[in-house]
Amino acid sequence: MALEAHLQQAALLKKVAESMKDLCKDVNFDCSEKGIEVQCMDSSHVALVSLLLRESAFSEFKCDRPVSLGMNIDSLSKILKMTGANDSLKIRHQTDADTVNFQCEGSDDRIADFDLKLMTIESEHMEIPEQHYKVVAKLPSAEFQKVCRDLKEFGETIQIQGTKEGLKFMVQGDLGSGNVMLKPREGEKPEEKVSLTVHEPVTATFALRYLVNFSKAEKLCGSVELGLGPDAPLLVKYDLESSDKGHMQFYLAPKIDE
Amino acid sequence: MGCVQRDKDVGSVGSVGLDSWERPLWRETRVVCGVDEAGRGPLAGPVVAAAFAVLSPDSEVLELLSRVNDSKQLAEQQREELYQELTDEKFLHRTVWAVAESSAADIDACNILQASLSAMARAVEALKVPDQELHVLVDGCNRPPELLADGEKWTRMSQRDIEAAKNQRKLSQFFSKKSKSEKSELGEMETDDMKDMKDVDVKHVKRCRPKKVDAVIEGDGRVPSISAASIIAKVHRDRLMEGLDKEYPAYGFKAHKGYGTEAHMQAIREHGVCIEHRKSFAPIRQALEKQSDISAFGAATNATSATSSKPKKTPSKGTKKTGLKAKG
Repeated sequence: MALEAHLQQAALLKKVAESMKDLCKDVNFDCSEKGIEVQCMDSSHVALVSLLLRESAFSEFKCDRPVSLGMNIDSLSKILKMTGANDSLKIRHQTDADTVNFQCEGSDDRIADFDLKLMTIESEHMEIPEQHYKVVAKLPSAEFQKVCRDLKEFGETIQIQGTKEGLKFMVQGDLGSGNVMLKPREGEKPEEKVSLTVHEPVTATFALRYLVNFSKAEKLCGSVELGLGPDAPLLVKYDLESSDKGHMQFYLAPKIDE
Repeated sequence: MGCVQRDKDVGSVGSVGLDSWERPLWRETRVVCGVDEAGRGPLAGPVVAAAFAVLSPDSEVLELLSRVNDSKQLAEQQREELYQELTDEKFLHRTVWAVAESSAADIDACNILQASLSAMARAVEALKVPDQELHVLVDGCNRPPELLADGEKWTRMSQRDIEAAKNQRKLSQFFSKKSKSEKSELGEMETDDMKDMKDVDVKHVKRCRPKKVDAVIEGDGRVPSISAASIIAKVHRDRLMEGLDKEYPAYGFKAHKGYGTEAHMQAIREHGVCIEHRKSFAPIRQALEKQSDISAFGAATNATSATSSKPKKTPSKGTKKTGLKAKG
């Protein structure tokens, strides 16, 4: 057995697949003793998804030798839709087999089993240099999604400005122009807080449609981290429930400011 | 890049002629190439693409380009005369042109759009003009994927797509590609598949990647280089169909050039289809279904089929190889 992994909550992988499916079609799940990693770019090479599902996210994880499992994300989503909210999931792959097996088990002794055919996917991996963001913001992921969805109604391009005063999302369109400002605030729970670390103010412009897609990962974690730098891709990072389980990171290339 | 050239002074919507297209572009790029296809609609024969470019815009070349127009707007005689001029040896080193075909089998293997775009890409490649000196203008609203960089959208872009893509940078400007050895950090052994992929990569590098590729809606009537390409493609295809007429005289390819005219349909009803028919096209598919029904009925009643009405050449001919003809 090249890979045997037990996930206590199948819902985690379900949310991961749902978060990726609007950006990536066919992806390689690179399995190693570290866990499961994915890196893939959208077809226009503007956005990149980077997933790390640590081995500690699994109740059991055994990977004898590193292996890349090429899967279609829509197909994976269809399989994971069979899982219930509290089902557990076993992922198994035999060495040199051309399928990967998913077995989900509910508390009612219902067991669903599916062998997904694997694909050979030619993918390019990008070297992501260590980024030193001038602005790092943490905000509730539901709020980030609402801002993106609301502003998408007015234009295709968003300007994000990070200053000590707060994080400002600005949009211009045929109807006019507007912005949403999120000021730093405390909250009882970490996912209610808005916090900013500003080394130097940054304003950058991005295609809003990608941010709307990224923000669908809101179910993964209550808060989202944004990293902004001058003339640098935007980082949108969600922990997989908690940072010890791993993370889903999205990178978005900026637009040239007019 | 989208369906309409959006540069400040070049090719605004509705603009026509050398002054609107080639002349401003010649200031930016050495070679502007027009590309068009002929024969997307017919039920038989190949789809032919042509590429035409001016290398040295002297007065004689410009005068010729001032007389070209969309091949569909020209009478057959006018097309023939312009074809003779456009492909005349005297323009050697002043203009360059090439044609490429996708056979009926190629069309059936993918679809007519992909086959047309593939022929267009091969016609451009056959020009042998250095990529960085080449600005390609393609008739229609799609751009041949083979000529585009990875991740570039080849299909028609909506207004929202165009707006979203405006001033958009790519991640490759910020992140570099991991080398093979770095990619292999998982410790995977190099398999035969990976060796094959390397070969693919090498081929990939050699592909023609023009500096710019733009799709121009109704370009065959607006951009002289595309008009020239449309004439070359049309005449070249007509000649091919005349050749096929000699091989398959039962169908009258010379007269209808493979289009679904009543005479052509009648010939198909009488003689069945031949290897040059596009079996993925509905009327041919339906004719084939009828043919098989009749055969099944014939077999059931133990009747022998008449062979006297078969076309002169039986469909034993192999798949026609995609042809390329380049002249420079």
